[in-house]
Amino acid sequence: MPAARHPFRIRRAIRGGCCYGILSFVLTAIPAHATGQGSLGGDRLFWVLVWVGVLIVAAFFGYVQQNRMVQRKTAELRRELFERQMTEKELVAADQKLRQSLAEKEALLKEIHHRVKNNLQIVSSLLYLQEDYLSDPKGIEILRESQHRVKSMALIHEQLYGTTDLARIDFGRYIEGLTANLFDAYGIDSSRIRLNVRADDIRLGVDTAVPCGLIVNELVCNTLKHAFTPAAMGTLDVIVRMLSPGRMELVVADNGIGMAESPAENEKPSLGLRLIHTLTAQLDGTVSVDTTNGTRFSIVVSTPEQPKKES
Amino acid sequence: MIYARPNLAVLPGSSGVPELVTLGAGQQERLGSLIKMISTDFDYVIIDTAAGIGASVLWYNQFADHNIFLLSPDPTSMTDAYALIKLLCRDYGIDHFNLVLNFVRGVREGKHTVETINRVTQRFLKLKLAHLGNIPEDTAVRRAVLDQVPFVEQTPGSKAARAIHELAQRVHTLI
Repeated sequence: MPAARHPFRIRRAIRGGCCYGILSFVLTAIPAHATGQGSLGGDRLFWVLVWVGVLIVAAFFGYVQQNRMVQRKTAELRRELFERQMTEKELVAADQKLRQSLAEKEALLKEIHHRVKNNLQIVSSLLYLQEDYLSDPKGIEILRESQHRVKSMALIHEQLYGTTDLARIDFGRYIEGLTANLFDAYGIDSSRIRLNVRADDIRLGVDTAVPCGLIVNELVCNTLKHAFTPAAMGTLDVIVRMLSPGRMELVVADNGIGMAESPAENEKPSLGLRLIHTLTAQLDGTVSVDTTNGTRFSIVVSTPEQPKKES
Repeated sequence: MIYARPNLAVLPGSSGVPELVTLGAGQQERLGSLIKMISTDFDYVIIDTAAGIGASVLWYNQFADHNIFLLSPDPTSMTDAYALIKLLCRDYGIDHFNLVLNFVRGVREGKHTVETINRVTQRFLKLKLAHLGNIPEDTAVRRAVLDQVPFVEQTPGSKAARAIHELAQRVHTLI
């Protein structure tokens, strides 16, 4: 290399033009006599400078490469950001839509239960109004029994739209309401006949609650009509409990005069008893009666599995 | 209508005129019949709409035979494009869209961007978008904009100009 100043200029524009780098440096070849060293010293200096130059160029290209990689990663992250943002937005929108749809359906279902209850009450009122056109006590009694049956069904729908769970009712609470209504309807003084309701925390859907409600309605009506003489004191126990998952027992027991074990030969079984047997069979259940101390009806029915309680 | 070149006429819109953005039903109908009338004299009518999901943008898009979305690989641009695609798909029943990527730094970036947006549309809209091509980032475009001349004429050999030619070929196959 002749003794002179040799300027080097490295120009590198990173693809895309967003980073632009110019690196310049000067290699100066100094003659050996000027340094006062021999030719060996001049050669050494030359190679040192060459290596320094090579290192600088390598560092520069390393920087450029790293810059490219950063840009590539940034672009990847931006794409990922977009994907995540869109996914989140879509999921939130879908969630909102679902909630809105659920709220609408709940409102509709409540409205349906409300209307069913109102219609059943109208039927009950019609039956009540028809009593005025009957003079036969037996006929009036039949109409009243029908009224109680209709009311027992209306009570289920009333409870369904009045709670947050539109699919199931608290059956214990329902039994308390039903028996209280029947005591009122028959004009029973609660100090004369004491009512004990004991119920497990059982939630039943309409399909099971309606027949179970009708069964309890028949048994309680029967007790209130026949178990006690007008002045007699007594107790009426209504027990609802789970025997095992999927098996529920309904017990209606009184300490009254007791009932005949079997009806007379020419006597037709009452509608109430027929209903009890039919509805129990419908729920894949069994009926047992114990008349040793008053009357004790024990009905075991199948119920769908109870939902687990929310913790 | 201005003839910029022998076979290229431009019907300019206007900037800062709100009436053009919010066309009434009657005006839309008139403009629609005007475009139909004009289209008989041309092979292609290209409508360059504004960005976003304004009423006029939606109207032009439902009016078009083919919808081409020009977007950059930035998340904001992708989000805008996705919002419009979603609206057109859900509310107007359009189920075929074409993408052109602008300002891309390499084929790979364009491909990855289209893959990303396609993943989202396939997942939530059950829709696959067609990729028509990329227009690379090119200083020739910036120069042409400053000189106010088309870059395909100013620097026909530039990367962007070549990409436009390739794109034109692909658009031609759409028809």
